[in-house]
Amino acid sequence: MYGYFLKLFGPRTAGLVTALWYAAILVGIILCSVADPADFRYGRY
Amino acid sequence: MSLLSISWLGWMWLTVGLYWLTPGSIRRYLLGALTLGFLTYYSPLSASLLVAFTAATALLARLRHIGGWTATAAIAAMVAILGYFKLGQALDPDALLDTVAIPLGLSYYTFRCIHVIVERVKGHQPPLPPVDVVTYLLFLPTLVVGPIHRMDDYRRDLARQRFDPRLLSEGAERILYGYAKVVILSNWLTQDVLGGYIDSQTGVWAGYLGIVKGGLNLYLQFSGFSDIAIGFARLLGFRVLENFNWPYFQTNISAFWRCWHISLSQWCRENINDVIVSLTRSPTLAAYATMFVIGMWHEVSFRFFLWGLYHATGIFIWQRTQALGARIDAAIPARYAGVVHAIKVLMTTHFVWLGFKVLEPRNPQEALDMLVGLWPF
Repeated sequence: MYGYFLKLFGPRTAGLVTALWYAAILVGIILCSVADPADFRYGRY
Repeated sequence: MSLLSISWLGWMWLTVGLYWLTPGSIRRYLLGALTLGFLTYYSPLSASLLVAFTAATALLARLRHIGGWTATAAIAAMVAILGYFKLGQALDPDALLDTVAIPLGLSYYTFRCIHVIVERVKGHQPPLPPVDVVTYLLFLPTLVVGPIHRMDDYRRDLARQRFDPRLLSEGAERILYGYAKVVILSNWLTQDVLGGYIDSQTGVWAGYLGIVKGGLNLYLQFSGFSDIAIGFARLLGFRVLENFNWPYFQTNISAFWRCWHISLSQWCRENINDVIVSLTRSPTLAAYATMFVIGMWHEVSFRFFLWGLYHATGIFIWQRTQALGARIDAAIPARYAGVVHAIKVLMTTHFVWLGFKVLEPRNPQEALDMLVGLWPF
């Protein structure tokens, strides 16, 4: 994602936005990990 | 073993850490040993089968010339073992809720073994050192949910392997996106939010949304887990085959199958479709046989037979109407091209989603009730 953000911002801002992007996804995963997992049969092959 | 569990994360990071700390000459042996340790811990039966399959494949792959009958006998034995477990799975539908319904990863490594034997028989690979075959098959990242990665890719990456921070970064990002797809987009957004909304609805609208939810969930889960596997492989310096390429944005069923579970459909295209086309010159027969094998790979049961038949018929109709479709496309003014494209995508996606519905009923009565429930009048 850093490469993408580099097209939009300068190197320092791009680095900061990339870090925020990853942090937001990580927080989202942790917050949503309480949801019931959907049935996924491919995991049983 | 769920890829969402803390223990899987532990195995993943332990493997990556030990792998890069170990001298280059013994890394792949370490990876093989860790894979075997993982499998022995979670599924001893699967570990025994994988060892037997690996030994047979390695012995055959090192021969300068493999006889047709020898290769056929080895492949038939592997398929019979896979079929035995698949049939057991189908006869006991409740076992689907259990992770030990089928030995862990059996469906994937059986097809990888066959791939190696076929590549050798065709002469696409030279006689292979047993260590190459053993370490290719004992490859932890793709063991549980695929993709069915290829021998030539594995050997290419092995030959040029070095610690590459860029690949490491790509791998970590891919794993993060995989977990985001599974946990945020599928489990929370589709399952909880959309599922909750569907529960408050009734009638045909609820039935339709149920189909949409099933299709979205399956894609997000499977492609998410594939992302985790592909990312894990990249952390170890390997680029394995992509498994999905925007399958729900394709304009026909043939294009869908080139973008959905790519490693399986490519395997079947090379080993079933192309062989039958070259022998019979019949793309129709080849499509039906290929979809039959893809159906049976999932489960040896009537419902997966119907599902394979459904998709093969879709491909058959598409094959027969290509010329008509091209004439219609040419007759429609260019300014409506976007609309036509969107209609094709919607039709293909709904065809596929409806196909997943075929898999839900466990008996003909349930299937009939489901169809009646979907009928709007």
